[in-house]
Amino acid sequence: MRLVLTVQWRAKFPQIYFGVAILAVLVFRSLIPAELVPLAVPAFLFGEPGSLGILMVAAHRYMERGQQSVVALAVTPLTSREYVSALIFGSAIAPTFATALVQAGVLGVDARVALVMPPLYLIAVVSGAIGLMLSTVFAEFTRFILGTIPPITIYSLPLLSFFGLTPWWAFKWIPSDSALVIFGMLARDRFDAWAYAGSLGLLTLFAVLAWWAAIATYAARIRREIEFA
Amino acid sequence: MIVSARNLRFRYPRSAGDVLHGLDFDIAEGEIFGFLGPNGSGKSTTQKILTGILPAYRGAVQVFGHDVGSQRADYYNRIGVSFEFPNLFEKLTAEENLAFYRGFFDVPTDEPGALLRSLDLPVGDRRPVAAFSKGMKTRLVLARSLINRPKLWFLDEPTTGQDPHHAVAIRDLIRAQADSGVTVFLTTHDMTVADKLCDRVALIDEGRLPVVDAPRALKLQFKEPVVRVEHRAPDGSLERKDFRLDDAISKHAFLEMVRTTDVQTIHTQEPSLEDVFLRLTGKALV
Repeated sequence: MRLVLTVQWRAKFPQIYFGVAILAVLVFRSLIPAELVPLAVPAFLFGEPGSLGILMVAAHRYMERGQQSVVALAVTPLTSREYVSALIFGSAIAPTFATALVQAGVLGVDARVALVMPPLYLIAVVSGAIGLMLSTVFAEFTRFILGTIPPITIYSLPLLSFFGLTPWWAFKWIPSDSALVIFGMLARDRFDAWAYAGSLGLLTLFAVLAWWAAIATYAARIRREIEFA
Repeated sequence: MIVSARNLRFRYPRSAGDVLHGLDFDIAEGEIFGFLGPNGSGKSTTQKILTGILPAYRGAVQVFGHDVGSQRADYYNRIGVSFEFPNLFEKLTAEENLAFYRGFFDVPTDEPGALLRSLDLPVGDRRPVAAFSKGMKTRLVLARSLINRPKLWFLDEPTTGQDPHHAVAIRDLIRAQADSGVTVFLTTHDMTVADKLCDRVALIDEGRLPVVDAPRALKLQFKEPVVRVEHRAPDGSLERKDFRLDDAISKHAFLEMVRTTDVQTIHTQEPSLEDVFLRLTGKALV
């Protein structure tokens, strides 16, 4: 119950995402040539939940650090696992819906909207966990932004193969690659159930690992922030 | 005893030495126990240990009969913690802050509106907490710490930033909670608050407790047996003279002055808790 409440609260803030999504739909429909849509839409779906997922969690964290509100949560029955889970899982909801809205607005409202949401959500979870971990390393938000460059670069490498610049297999073990596989097949409207299930399975595995690492980070670093606040 | 600390010691990582040097104290049920000391004396560190935030202490600390280090989530259902820093969710309204917070507890909680009213905070105010004054934020933190109807209430400088009217209201609230059986652990450097509220105070200095006793007992213990007399001099000016009551000659002089001059006031000179602290440690409280 506590987890549900906290997830709801974390999911509440970023209404601005939907404004960005509507703007993106307008850009896609008026400025992007139709022949580029099968490449441009997956690239957008790939980039938005990842980058915004990192920033969203970090924004929560830096705000809470400034307010010291995390110290107030530390003297409630809310456990560290619930705190981290709510932050990561809750913050991933808005980017998921907002990005799915872009796909629906550009490619149409059909089954693909439902199919695109699980990978979008899992990407936002992975990137949110990375954002949480990075936020414990950098004391200031500006330094945090610089600190996101290496993970975002690694995250973005599969785009090279997606655009045909390097071999696809080189980036198979980067979590974001699995999402790109799904977004690509959905944009070209060539659904392959096995490829979808395999990619989703890998993404789920990465999301669980990232969540676990974020909980371990909480125990090691955020707890220390609370102790010495 | 609700709280019992024996030989409590604590050292922050990378610090040269202990910040708490073997504290011993007990707190009985329904007692208002004051931790009185200057900034940096170890008050907040002690509170953090008792609230389970700092687990790496040495010595024995029991709360509700259990080691504080082994306390789990249920412990937080039974305590309330009001921080000196108003660590609220600033983008939320006062009611949203309380409504959000109460959802974490597994015990019956109070209605946010009633709590807000009890601390003279507006009900139905749509402003985010960020727009509140410091005094309002402190009162909201107090309200939040009561939402789960705690049995043990930790208060850190509860009257900071309050005008005299609200400071009195907060003192009345604390007294009312104690009268209803709530045990209060109050850390402060405000001797007036400690003097007016606390059943007993522990004076803490550089991580040591030189004395733990009732405020009145401490003041009597350190009282100077002196009477101060203000009287009108023949030229009409107001003069002041102190007489020791433990000295026969001085006592005689005092009676002579009362008999022969136009006495305006006579007062015994009782020390304040600040004087007691100064006497014991050689330092001022603030």
